[in-house]
Amino acid sequence: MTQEQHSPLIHPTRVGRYEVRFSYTFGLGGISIGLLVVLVITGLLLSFGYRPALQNAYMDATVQAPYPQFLRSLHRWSAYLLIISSCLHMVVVFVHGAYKARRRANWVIGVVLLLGVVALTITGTVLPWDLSAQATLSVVNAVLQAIPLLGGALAKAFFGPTLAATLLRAYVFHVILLPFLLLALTGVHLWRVRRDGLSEPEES
Amino acid sequence: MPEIPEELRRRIAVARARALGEGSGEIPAASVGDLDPRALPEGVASPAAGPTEMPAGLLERVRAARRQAIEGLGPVLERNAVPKQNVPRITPERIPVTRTAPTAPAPATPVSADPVEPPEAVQVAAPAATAGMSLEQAAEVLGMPEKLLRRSVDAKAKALGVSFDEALAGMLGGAAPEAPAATESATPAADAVAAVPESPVPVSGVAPVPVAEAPSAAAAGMSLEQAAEALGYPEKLFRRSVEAKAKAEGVSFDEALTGMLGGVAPATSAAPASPAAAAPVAAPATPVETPAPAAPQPVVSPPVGAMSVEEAAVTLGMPEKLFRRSVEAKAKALGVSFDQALADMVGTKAPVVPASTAAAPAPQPAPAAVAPDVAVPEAEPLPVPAAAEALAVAPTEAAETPAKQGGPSVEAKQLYRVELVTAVISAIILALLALAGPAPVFRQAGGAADPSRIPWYLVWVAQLFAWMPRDTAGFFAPLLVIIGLFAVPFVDRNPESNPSHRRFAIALFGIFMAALLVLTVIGLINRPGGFGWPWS
Repeated sequence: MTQEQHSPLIHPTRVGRYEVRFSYTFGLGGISIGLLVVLVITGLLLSFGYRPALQNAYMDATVQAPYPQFLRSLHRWSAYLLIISSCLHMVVVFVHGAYKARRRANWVIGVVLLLGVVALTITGTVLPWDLSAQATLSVVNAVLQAIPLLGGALAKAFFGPTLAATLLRAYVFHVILLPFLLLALTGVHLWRVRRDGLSEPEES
Repeated sequence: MPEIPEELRRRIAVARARALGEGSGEIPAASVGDLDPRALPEGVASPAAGPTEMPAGLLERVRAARRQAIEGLGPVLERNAVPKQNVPRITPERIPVTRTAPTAPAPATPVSADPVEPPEAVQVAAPAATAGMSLEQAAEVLGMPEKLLRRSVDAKAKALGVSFDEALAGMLGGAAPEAPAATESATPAADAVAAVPESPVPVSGVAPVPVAEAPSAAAAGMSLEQAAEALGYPEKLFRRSVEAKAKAEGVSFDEALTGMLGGVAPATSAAPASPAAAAPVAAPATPVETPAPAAPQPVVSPPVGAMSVEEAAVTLGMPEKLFRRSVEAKAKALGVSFDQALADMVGTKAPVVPASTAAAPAPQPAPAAVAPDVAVPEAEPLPVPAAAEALAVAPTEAAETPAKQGGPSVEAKQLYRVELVTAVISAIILALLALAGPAPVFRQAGGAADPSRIPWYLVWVAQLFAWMPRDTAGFFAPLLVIIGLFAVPFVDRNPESNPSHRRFAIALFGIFMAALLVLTVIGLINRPGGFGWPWS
């Protein structure tokens, strides 16, 4: 069972035989990581064909050719599935009580990651600059405006003075800021899993 | 027997968490010796006098049990040892065979040993040369980070009140760094198979360690709280354990408690059919594997002072369920009965109570009953650690832990397989979804916002806006959700992790998640262009 030298870094150093059962984790953490990889790759490829300006964004994001369309579909489905798999992962972790004691910090990191995924999805929805982007922005605006005291300032900071600024900010958030934060925190998350190991399975 | 390294891992985690001052979620170790009367508030009787006084001998018994449980880790450490090539091997010649074994009472431990080559086996399986071994060497030999080992030894030294060196020696006591030659050769798989028939010391028996039970009378007057405190368990857990035992054996709560504390379960002999009740501790001569297949299996009868699974688990400081599973796995792996496996595990690992307690020594197993027809007449007595050693090189072990020979472990291979299958299936599903449901293309943004285009993951917020005032929907409700998620591990401080014991917490979290789901569904139905309610 000592497999420290043999397991890739994303695994805990030791995994018991009850913990490798699919039905114990449903592989949801691993699926989320896989989706994240798909998102990074497809996002990188999509960024070659997208310009974050009002006059280009919609055109670039709706090119009707098989390859970009498939990339966009993959990217979008991966994002949606990532939200779902992250939530289910959270549920499984909760059910197994795998957030207690020394794993407490990793639960907190996981919640931050979930919020990061939602933030990335929101900013990503804005980029095509279609009706869905507009509806998303309206919800974001409503939420930000509802925050007491700081709401107006936050909305102004996020939206900027013009629509073009809004699009550009969403782009920077989506392509640079949030991905780096998310990937770094994902690294910490995985490192903590590796360090703490999977939680002991209970009697099923 | 892969559960035992699990156990080791758990213990290290506990020691580590304790050393770091973190909560570990594990059952705290008994700290009877650390109980400071000055720490008690005024008006509460000190433990030295008054109602919380501990029965005579219990303290020693608890300490001894803990010491034995820790020393039972000897074979575990040995099995986990991954000798590295550049580490100077400790050869058998350098191993002092004599060791002051604090646990094994020297006299009257006849072990039915292998008839073929007991001397060599003894030499190989001799206790590790701990005298000349530094911490670094020990860490190398055990394949542990030195820091971890140091911390672990520190914790042990502190817990037992001995010096660092003594604790180290005690921990390494049963750990022989030298694996048998058969498992180290170039073709591990073939050798593992070949080693099956010629394993140096087949597990032919268990040392019948004299079990000196503390008298039930000593613990009879003890309340549950006192007992839980003395054993170092949370009272709630202990109560549950006692209740489970009482229910399993059909006795009253008090009887079960007395049985657990006294070591003699009242209903043990009355219900021998139940493996939990009739599992023998240190069963005299219950051969796990006999060299001669024709040898008759002796009938295992519940010996005097038989230990149930619950008691064994308590003694070892393991959750009972885990321990039971471990015993079952061992029984299955070796093809023996549950009782035999339990007797084997408990007998070799942690004899219950040393004779030092000896308030009322239980009858020694009669030698005639120890090694009947199976064992060789002139069986060489083996010290208990040597018997454990023999267990460690049992064929199943050699076959199950190829990690020693340089390949991934069984668990790792299985893990990779599961991950590969999951990844392939997920990728196929994702590709099919992307092909079947291409990313939608809506009209370009402009004009009035279209609420029907709100993405599904924000629909629950939009639905809140439809129902609640703006501040609540946009700020307080989402804030509650976020804070609630962050606060989960800080609010729920119950160390229990078994879902069936945390129904309230799981129900609460389920309601929380279900509320988000229901809000989303209602929002999707309600939004313009949605399905609409069927009755409207």
